[in-house]
Amino acid sequence: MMGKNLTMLQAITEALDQMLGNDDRVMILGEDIGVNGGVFRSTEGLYEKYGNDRVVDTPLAESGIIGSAIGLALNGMLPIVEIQFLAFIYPGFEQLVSHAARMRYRTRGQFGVPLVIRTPYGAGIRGPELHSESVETFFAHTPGLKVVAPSNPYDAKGLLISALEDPDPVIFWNRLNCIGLLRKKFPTKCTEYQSVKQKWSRRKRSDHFCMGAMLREALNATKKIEAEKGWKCEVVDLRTLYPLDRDTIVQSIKKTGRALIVHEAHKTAGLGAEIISIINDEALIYLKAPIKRVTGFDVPVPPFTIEDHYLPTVDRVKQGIVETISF
Amino acid sequence: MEVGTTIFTIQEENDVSVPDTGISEEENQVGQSGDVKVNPEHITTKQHHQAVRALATPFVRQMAREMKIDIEKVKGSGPAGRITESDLKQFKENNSFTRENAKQHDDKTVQEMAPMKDAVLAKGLENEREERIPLKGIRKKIAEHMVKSVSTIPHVTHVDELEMDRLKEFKNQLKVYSDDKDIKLTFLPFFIKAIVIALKEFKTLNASLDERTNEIILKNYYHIGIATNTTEGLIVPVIKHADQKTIFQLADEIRQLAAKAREGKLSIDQITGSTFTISNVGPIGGCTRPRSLTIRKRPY
Repeated sequence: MMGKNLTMLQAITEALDQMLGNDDRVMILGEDIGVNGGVFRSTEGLYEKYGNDRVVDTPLAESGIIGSAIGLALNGMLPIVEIQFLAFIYPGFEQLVSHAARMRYRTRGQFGVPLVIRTPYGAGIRGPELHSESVETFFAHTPGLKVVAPSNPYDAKGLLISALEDPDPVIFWNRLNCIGLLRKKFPTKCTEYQSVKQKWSRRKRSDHFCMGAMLREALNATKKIEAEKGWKCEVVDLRTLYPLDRDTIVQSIKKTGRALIVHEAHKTAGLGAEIISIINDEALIYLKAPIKRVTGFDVPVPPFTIEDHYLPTVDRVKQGIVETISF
Repeated sequence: MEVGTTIFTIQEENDVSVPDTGISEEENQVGQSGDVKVNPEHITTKQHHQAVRALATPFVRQMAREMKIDIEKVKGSGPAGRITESDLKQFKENNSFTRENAKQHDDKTVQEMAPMKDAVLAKGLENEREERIPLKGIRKKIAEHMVKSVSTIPHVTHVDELEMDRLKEFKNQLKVYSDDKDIKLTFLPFFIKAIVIALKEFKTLNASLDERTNEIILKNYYHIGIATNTTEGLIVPVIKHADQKTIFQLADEIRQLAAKAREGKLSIDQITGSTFTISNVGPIGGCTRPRSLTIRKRPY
């Protein structure tokens, strides 16, 4: 099985299949995930293979889905919930924040909620408003939740398996337009989770910190910059948004003295601000230039006809690099 | 007793109290041009209050710390006057020689003088090996002016040589007439004439910039400043409407203005309003020197 090519979607399906097969406690819940195979086909074939006790079609009621999953988790199951789009999670937000996130704290460690919520996020697939949001900050800000956002199939499979092994709730994000696009060669078993470090290292002039699909924009921009100006950048794919890999961030800053943060979420109080804060706390004296952010804007993600103007583009990232390096 | 009233002040023995001069910065400048006597001690304390933090990124600040450079003494060459890494290296290079030499002296001075105030330090050094002349009056104005000129106006220098034989011949021919009129004829009036002719053809050289309105002012009058060395420094008396005067009139006016300049008897009117300035280093020797342009608060 070594060395096969999988899309992100296939990697996720494979991970779910393995987990369902390995452990009877694992269940999948969500809208249209069973008979239909999922709106993005990420659960295709699982209903047939494991039956409707393990792969459960739910009503369109996110609060009910997450609430049920919390009950299942408290009673010894390992539920994996699919929320069809990230921003549809809001009806279930109360269950997640008021109960799942604080159950371990509330019971003084007696009970945990080993729950995984898998949800696509982000703009660029021509979906209307709520479908396109990227609001990781809500979750990263909540004590008790872990948030991961892989950028490629290899990380996706590894992080999904690691998420299930975690004894507490983990929100697993996959970027919508990453689902079918990227292919990556990888071995079948991989379980790295925390601080999985992956770097594109050359001699550096500047850093990028980015997540999910923004990695593609960041890599394309750095390639162009290197071709045009000969400036080499290090790109750091954060992967886990909570906990953040502080060491990698700080080490990278010590190397280059500059940073550009790319995320598609709104700018104000976005995760970029937190990263700047970490750098400020731990690596201020290495800074040669103000840290820039290339992000979405402080508006609801606009309708599909103009959503490309909302998302950070290669040109905007390039401009950011130029401003950071030529400061 | 009312809230906010000072009850008492604690003063240690070697604290030098800082008397309020009561002189605002503006008044202070007027004072330094000669009229009011200003206590040098007050000027020293003033400098402490004017300290502005040097512009530098945290990285450069840390680098300065590691290189043991007082960053406040480094002049920045980066955007907005920011201090860059290369400024620090340059500063270190420029200072290594002086530092070696001064080290012994410095160590001693620092140990002995540390508790004393600047004014006292200055007095102590005075007796040793230095002489201190207060920078004030005309000399101070010139210094300020030159610094401002060089730092705000882009300067361009062009050097050329001129075949003068025929001019010499012509001057000798005129000597008979000038001697008659008791005028000492030099080359300068000829240069003034030549320059005026050139300025009429190339108007942008007889111009100034109005920064308020972003306009270049081309002038159709020709007031030529003549840089004159005096004991107080360089003074530039102005020959008004040089284009309307003859060689002899120019020669005569130059002599009069130069004499007045040396006696310090020029009026404001006679040293302002030049549209173009000539510096003649001929009498001292040498063939060229860097020059600085005049800044005008108001276009003339």
